[in-house]
Amino acid sequence: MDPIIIAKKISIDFKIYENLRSFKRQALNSLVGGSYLTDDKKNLMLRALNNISFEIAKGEKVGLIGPNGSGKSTLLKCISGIYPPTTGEIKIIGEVGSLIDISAGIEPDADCLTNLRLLALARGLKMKKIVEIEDQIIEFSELREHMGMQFKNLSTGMSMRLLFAVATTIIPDILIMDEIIGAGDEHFKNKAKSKIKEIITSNRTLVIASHDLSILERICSRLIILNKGNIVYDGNVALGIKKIKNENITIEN
Amino acid sequence: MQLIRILITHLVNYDRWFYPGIISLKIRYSRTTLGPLWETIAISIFIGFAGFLWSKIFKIDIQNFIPHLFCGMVIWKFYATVISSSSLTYVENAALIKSIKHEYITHNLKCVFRDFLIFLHNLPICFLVVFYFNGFNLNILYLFLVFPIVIISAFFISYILSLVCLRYRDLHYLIQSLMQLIFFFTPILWKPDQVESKVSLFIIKPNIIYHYVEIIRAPILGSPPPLLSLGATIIFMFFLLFFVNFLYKKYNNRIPYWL
Repeated sequence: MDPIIIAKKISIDFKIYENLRSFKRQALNSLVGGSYLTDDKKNLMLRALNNISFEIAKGEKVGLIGPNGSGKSTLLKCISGIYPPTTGEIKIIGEVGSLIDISAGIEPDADCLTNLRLLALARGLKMKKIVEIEDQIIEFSELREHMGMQFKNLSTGMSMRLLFAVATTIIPDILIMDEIIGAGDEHFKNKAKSKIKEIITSNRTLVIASHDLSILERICSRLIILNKGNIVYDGNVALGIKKIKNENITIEN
Repeated sequence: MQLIRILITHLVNYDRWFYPGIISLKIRYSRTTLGPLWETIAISIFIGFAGFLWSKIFKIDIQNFIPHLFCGMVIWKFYATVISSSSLTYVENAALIKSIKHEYITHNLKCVFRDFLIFLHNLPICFLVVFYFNGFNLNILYLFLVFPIVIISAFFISYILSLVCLRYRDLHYLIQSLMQLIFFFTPILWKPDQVESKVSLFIIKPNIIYHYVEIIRAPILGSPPPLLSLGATIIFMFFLLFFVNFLYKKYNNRIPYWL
């Protein structure tokens, strides 16, 4: 099948603006996964992704795994178009939707209906479309009677239900996820699970970062292991998990 | 020009800045009875008392001075709010910028739209004061000519400040301090004809904010916008356009990296 995500030798460097002394650099180096380098102006840079290449075909379900700071979130954001590569090239064919931070765009002081609209607008929907589908979102969140309440007054479970309902209503062809999202009480968790299953089992392309091996084993057809910004494994999920276990690769810090 | 194309697209598809702009204004005044009218009341009380007092102290004709002060303060407040809120725009929207790919200029459109709405709330009080002291004048219609210049320039300034203050975090504080200084150098609390022509030549005329104030103030006070101010603001607007276009092309992609 033709690839719809093509990454060629991409690197992502973050300039460190804080003035760090050498011992702080070393301390940071051991705490975060990326590696430090300096650019031609002697600025301190953190290399989050190091010259990586891969292709993802339409409909593929790809899991990203690796220790904290290995570059998973940076790679997801790069595919989402948030971080353009510092060097190299990434080509995306199709529309990408990211569920990286589903609460981004929330106004805690506004009511829930307003927040529903703000979140949907932030995800690229037009107001006309939002008005058409908002009833469906409210129905799914089971928060109809709370829509006039300020978002900040919702319980954690309730707010997650609303966020989940909005985030999973607008799903484009290529879906980027940072951990599986779930929400609410047992009843809603089951509902959320089947919604996620519906999204995952569809013909969409999925790239998901997770620390949970069992989730990746269940939903992914391919596994990419990242470490310090490098791809150390790219292939079959079962073999990848075997590699993690055999080589004692730490996936949770 | 790529920037103009994107800008027009987002002005036509106004959902992403219009609704959030209205909501951010509503939130700011949530649970208050008078809402944004508090701005108008606060400014009216201050200028009413201060204007009366200063006109007595400096022995200025109250009929000319009070409308001048009212309009100047309301217009200055708009520019000062745009400048101050723009310098933190991207920092305040960091979560969104770092999680969903979108056009970052929508945050500037939202910011300028919200601040302009507040300005429109305060504007009627200027009309009332001018009407009370000087009567009605049709030159007020020049506002329709100058508002596009003001809004477009405010957007460009907003983008420049958001970007530059994001990269250099100290600038926000520097700008706040400078604005206080510029306020006293701009004829708001005093009138240009109160100073010598040398001061006017070296302090008032080179001050672009004075020209931006004057193109709005003059029509409200009953005269057409001065040609010098109109010319200066139009030229400055085009200068801003080219500068914004340069920044957009070179640094817009860097915004998530700088957060």
